[in-house]
Amino acid sequence: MSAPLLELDRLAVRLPVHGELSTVIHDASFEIAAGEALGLVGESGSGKSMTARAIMRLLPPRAEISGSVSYLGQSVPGFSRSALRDFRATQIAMIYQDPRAHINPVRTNGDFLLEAMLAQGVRPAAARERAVGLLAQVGIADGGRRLRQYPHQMSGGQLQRIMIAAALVTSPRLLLADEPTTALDVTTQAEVMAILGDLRVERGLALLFITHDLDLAAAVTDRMAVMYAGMIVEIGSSQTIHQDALHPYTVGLLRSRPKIGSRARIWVIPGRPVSAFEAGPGCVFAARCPYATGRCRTERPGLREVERQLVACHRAEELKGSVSFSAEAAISD
Amino acid sequence: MISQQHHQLGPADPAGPPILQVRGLRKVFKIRSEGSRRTENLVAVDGVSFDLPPSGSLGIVGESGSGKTTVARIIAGLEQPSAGTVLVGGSPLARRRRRRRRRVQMVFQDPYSSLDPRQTILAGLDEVLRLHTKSGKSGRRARALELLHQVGLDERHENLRPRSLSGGQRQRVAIARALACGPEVLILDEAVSALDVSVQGQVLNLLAELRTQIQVAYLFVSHDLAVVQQVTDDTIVMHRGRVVEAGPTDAILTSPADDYTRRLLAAVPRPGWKPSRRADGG
Ligand SMILES: Nc1ncnc2c1ncn2[C@@H]1O[C@H](COP(=O)(O)OP(=O)(O)OP(=O)(O)O)[C@@H](O)[C@H]1O
Ligand SMILES: Nc1ncnc2c1ncn2[C@@H]1O[C@H](COP(=O)(O)OP(=O)(O)OP(=O)(O)O)[C@@H](O)[C@H]1O
Ligand code: SF4
Ligand SMILES: [Mg+2]
Ligand SMILES: [Mg+2]
Repeated sequence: MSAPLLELDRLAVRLPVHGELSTVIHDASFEIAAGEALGLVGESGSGKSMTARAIMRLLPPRAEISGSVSYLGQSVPGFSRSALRDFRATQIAMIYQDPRAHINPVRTNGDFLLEAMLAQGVRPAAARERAVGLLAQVGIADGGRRLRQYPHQMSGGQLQRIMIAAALVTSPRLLLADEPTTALDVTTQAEVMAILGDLRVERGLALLFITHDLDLAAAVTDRMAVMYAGMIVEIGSSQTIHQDALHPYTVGLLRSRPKIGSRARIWVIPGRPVSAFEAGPGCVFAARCPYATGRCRTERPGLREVERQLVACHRAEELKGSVSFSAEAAISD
Repeated sequence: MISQQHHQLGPADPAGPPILQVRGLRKVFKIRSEGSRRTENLVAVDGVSFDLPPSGSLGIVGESGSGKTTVARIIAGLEQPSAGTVLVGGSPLARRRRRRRRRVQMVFQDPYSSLDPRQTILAGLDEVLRLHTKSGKSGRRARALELLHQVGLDERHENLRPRSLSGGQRQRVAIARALACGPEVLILDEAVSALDVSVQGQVLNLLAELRTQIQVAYLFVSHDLAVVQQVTDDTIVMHRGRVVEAGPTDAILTSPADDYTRRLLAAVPRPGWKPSRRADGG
């Protein structure tokens, strides 16, 4: 494998809430090589979007960050203004989870899609042609007409695909895709994933793929990182995690998926999700883990190698293959 | 193809008259070309009809852009149909906004635009409860906290504003708000798609429980077929503004009759699945 394009080392982020800084990311370390796809999955509120925003340097004002984010060996937080502009214009792009919050409602889709290309000196006609071509690739056949329309005239999935096209116009080397297919039906999703797959092969596009769909992540990513309460608790080959997850939280997530063909009440991990700032000194998952011991509540496990995966659990070896929530489920029902 | 006629859904002997009766819904959007006075027609919805029994649950699935949200918005009274009728409990939607809001509630695909950015979570819930219940201040607070708990949030979130919530947390606030007024019809437009599986499971279980406890019917728009099976009795499949297939959800998911439905089922991600482009180019 080639040297990493992106490297996060012990990234931690604190944000002001009611005037006080509170932790939203404790510890995120991973790397992504050119052409590689890393999935980032985990509970709602665990810090997935914040991780992506930290990489883009788009954190809310007065956020505090520690640890390092480096791109091709250079520190992203250390970028000068012009280096940052260049980084965002030519190297990296982001597909936002909430398109309507990131698009100017009074400008047409065309203004939005062409902006970056025009800024780079591409001629309007050529830019338009490229935009229409990209829209066709993501399944929007009447791109010419769509460019004249406004964001509020698009369906949820159409707008999401306009965001995807906008992220690809500048041919970035690294794409941060935050739940890019949540508003898409599965046939359109398949098309979008096929395009991203082709770009990975053809131009070595690297992908950070944030999703809550573990089956999708397993199918389209090489490696997967699982986040809980601001910490990466497991990272390794997507297939291995999908089949033989080690961390009790990952096992619980995999068990919570609804399946076609079943109407039974969905099993869910007992207890309430915790935010990063409320996690005690021990394991972030201890309050919900059926295997928590005294040590788990006082000493936070770091990521360490077990069976070629990295997992943050004191008891990973002894629990391997035997994690079940049955005792816990019986109590909570 | 059965796109134009009305689909008789639900059990043969339904429990009373339908709470929602939709007939021949059509919606044409006019799109103005920039710099000219010419307009084009975009037919977003074409001849959509269905019934929803009280406490029933109907899924709407289909391609992106096929008209699902438009149908939902018309039923919620947020959009006027070009043709067709919507009856709620046998009568046309009440004109007065407040009554309609109480009977038919909608959770939007995009929670960002539906929450007031200046209002804290608690203040938003309190406002809805003040409008739709007779409870006093402390009763409303207790009810608001109960609603937050039901969607997997709690006291820690009550004084935050939407901006400080993650995408999934915002969506759960929107669901809590919709439930707060005790609607008879709850329209959920991709309302659980942004949630991780564990929280999603909690919300789906909650929806299933509510249906047995209070009289509420669901219109459930989603692209996730496993989720649709979980919460609906019947399903309609939309393609390019029309209904291409309708019937009991289990039957549609096990033996789809329409070609588009079959493609939909084939594209569900599973281990070893390889994303591929559509063969027909459309
Ligand atoms: N602007 C902000 N100010 C303070 N806290 C914030 C802000 N934005 C998000 N948070 C908090 O940071 C935490 C992480 O949020 P983030 O958006 O990264 O979650 P996520 O993993 O992307 O969740 P989801 O799957 O629901 O999108 C959440 O607990 C959220 O409440
Ligand atoms: N206000 C509007 N003005 C013009 N066209 C519109 C408007 N709202 C929706 N449309 C168009 O109507 C069609 C149906 O849109 P709708 O939002 O109902 O689709 P959908 O089935 O909900 O799709 P998705 O799954 O992507 O959310 C689309 O082609 C859309 O562009
Ligand atoms: S460290 Fe302890 S509490 Fe944490 S996941 Fe492992 S067994 Fe459970
Ligand atoms: Mg997010
Ligand atoms: Mg929609």
